[in-house]
Amino acid sequence: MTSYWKDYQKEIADDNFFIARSCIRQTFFPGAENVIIDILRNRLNINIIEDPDHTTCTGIGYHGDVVPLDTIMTVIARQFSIMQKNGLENMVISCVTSFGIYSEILDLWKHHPEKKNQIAGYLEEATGRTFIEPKNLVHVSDLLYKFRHEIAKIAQYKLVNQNTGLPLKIVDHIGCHYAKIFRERGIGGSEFPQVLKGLITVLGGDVIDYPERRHCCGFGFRHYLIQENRGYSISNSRIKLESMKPFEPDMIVANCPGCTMFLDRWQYTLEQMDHSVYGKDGNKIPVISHEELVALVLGYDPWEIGFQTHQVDIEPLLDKIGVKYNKDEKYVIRNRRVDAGAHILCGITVQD
Amino acid sequence: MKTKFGFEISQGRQIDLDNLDTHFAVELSRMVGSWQSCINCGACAATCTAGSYSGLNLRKLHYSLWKSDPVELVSRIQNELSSCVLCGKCQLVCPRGISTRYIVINLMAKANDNVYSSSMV
Amino acid sequence: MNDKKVAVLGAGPAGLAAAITLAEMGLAVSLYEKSSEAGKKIRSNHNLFPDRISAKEVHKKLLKWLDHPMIRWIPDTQVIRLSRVSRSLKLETEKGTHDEFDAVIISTGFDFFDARLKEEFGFGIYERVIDSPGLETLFNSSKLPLTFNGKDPQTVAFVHCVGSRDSQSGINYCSRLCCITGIKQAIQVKELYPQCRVYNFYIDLRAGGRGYEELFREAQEKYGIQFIRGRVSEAGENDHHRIVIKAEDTLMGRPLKVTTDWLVLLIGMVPCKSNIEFEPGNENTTGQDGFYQISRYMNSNRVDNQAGVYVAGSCCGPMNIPESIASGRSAAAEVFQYLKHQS
Repeated sequence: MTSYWKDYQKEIADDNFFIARSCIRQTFFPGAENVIIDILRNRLNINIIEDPDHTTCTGIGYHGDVVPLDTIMTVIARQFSIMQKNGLENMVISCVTSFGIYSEILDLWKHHPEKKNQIAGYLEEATGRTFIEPKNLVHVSDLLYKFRHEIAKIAQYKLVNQNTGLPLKIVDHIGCHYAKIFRERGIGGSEFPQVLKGLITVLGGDVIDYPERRHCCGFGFRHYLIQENRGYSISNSRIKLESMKPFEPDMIVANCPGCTMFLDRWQYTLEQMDHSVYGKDGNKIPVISHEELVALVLGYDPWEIGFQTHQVDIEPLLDKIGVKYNKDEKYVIRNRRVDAGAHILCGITVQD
Repeated sequence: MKTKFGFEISQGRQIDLDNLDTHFAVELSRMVGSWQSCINCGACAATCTAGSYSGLNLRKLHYSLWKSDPVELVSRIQNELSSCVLCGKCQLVCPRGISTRYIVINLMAKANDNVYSSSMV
Repeated sequence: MNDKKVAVLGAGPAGLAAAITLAEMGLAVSLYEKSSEAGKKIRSNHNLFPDRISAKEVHKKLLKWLDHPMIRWIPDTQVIRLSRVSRSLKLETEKGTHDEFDAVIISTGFDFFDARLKEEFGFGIYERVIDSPGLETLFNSSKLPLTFNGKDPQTVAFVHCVGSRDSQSGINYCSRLCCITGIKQAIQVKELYPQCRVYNFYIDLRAGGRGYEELFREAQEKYGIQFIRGRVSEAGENDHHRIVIKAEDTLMGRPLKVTTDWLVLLIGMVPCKSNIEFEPGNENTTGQDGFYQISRYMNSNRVDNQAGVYVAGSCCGPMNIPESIASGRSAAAEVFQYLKHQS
């Protein structure tokens, strides 16, 4: 019996997950994580446990060459220990790079159990903890894929252009660390991953297949963190944006927080550097994450989701879908004004 | 006005076959038809008199005629080909029987704006 | 000897050659074929390397052999099991019928590699990514086979070694005949569309048959086909439904990109899926690569430890038509020897 990678479905548990948050998503898109935990718990009735003791996976440091391999493995072991302490054996990760790191380390331990024992020793010495490996390790977008039909049932909006009646043209961008390293850890394998496509299609959108679809956004950690290297990083985002331009996408959905940030912010930078824009009619293309996408169709308030922290304005997209929102409340959160310091990072101006 | 952020966007070194200017190579293949049958075996470069003492690699040069930007190519030709002593050993060993020496002469002439020096022929 | 019966399984070039040789030697032959016609794969070609002779003509000549009175032609019948009953070999078909023979020649041929397994090339996903048999069918179907929506192709790219020599696809051997197929088909494209640019992406060019190297040189010199040494890593479709491929030009040491109107995947031969069940146990009949194993001493077409059972043709390894025919004749001669010593 021949089976093709495109049809590959990976095992995803039903319930009782320990969630590990994402540094970049928390920083740049704070609304996204809050809203998805609310959706998973209260709308999809999945038991998601968070523990305040859990930390960053230190992936940024590891990929940025400042955290050694042994250190990050010990940190991961500690995360597993916290998961075990909460009586859970399924883990769901918010960040794709983080997911890649957990997968890599589990694979390393599988092939080198002596390394695992060494790390267990380090962890015990440093914290007195022991740990178990999770039985099921998935990414948040995997969970949303698994429950996509349930989400579609309770969705208030469809991914359809109100004015034309046609499905929105959507670019699905999968983070490299999701399935490029281990094909079997991605739904649909690595060449034509289905994890976002399945979700988008069920919600009424059309996924665009463009030549550079598999290309990395260029984040690269070490490359981006140092200013002099950034040119190399940004040129990768440019390749993608140029390639998708002829298809006139309405939005980009990315499941990795780094990719979301990159494709969102770099459109501004590229326009400033050489006046290039990649959306239809000289507009920029809104970039959102899978959590924000699901929250949007489920009818959450756009400013609650956190679209105001995105570089590219979301309003044209909201108008296309027909989402109701209050323009004046964009930069006001829960009756408080946005702190002046926060907006410099995002490059947006706040009316004071 | 273009903003500077402290870095330049890298141009990349991918060969774009869709937009390559190959008029050099096309002209040469018209002049020396058998040149298209080159299999890049490297016999010419192996036996080259100038090869061990200069940057001249005949095989690489011939191959890059199809894949390089003409402006970059001309400067390479001028620099590397000047080491060629026109001994003809490359032509002797070529398994496809290509007149490599004739190609070298034409490339030199092309690089010097089609002026054939009497001492060359 | 006149009472001896031989079965030949599979009516490709090897099976047909074996059948006619046995018949001419005076033996009764039952020629089984799972499809409804003999030499189906030959006829699906347009012309054959290296001399570019018409496949239909070759097919016609081979089919004449079926007219021999000693050959019982049994189409639409697949043999599924072979077992021993005292000194005879019993063959069981999918229809439930069975028959007994004194010797059997297995010449069940090959299958084509399923290019959908190499998902990075987009076969089965993008319309204009086809495989070499698919291209051959297109050549047979129309005078302008690659004209799409009224437009002639500007560029056609061939990828060598699709599925072969590849641990990712589980096929570690070289299929021997795909390179020359690529050269031949590239020439055919240039003949039909002289203005079209044709690129062949190869790893090693294997043109080891008689006349093959000469055809390669002709492809280069006369037709200007560009052979680029390097792997194609992925194919994607742009907004005009043309295929964009990325490759490495290893001789330049630089990555490369080209937009092509058609991407042709040169696929290899894999062992036939519908292999026959031997009783008891199949252990020693196929090698690690899945093809039937013939004698290690290279002096026999007999399957190890199976008296009276012989193999011929591409079911024991990738072979071209003249090789298959020779293999079939050779197995038939051996069968004759075997049966002579039996009587």
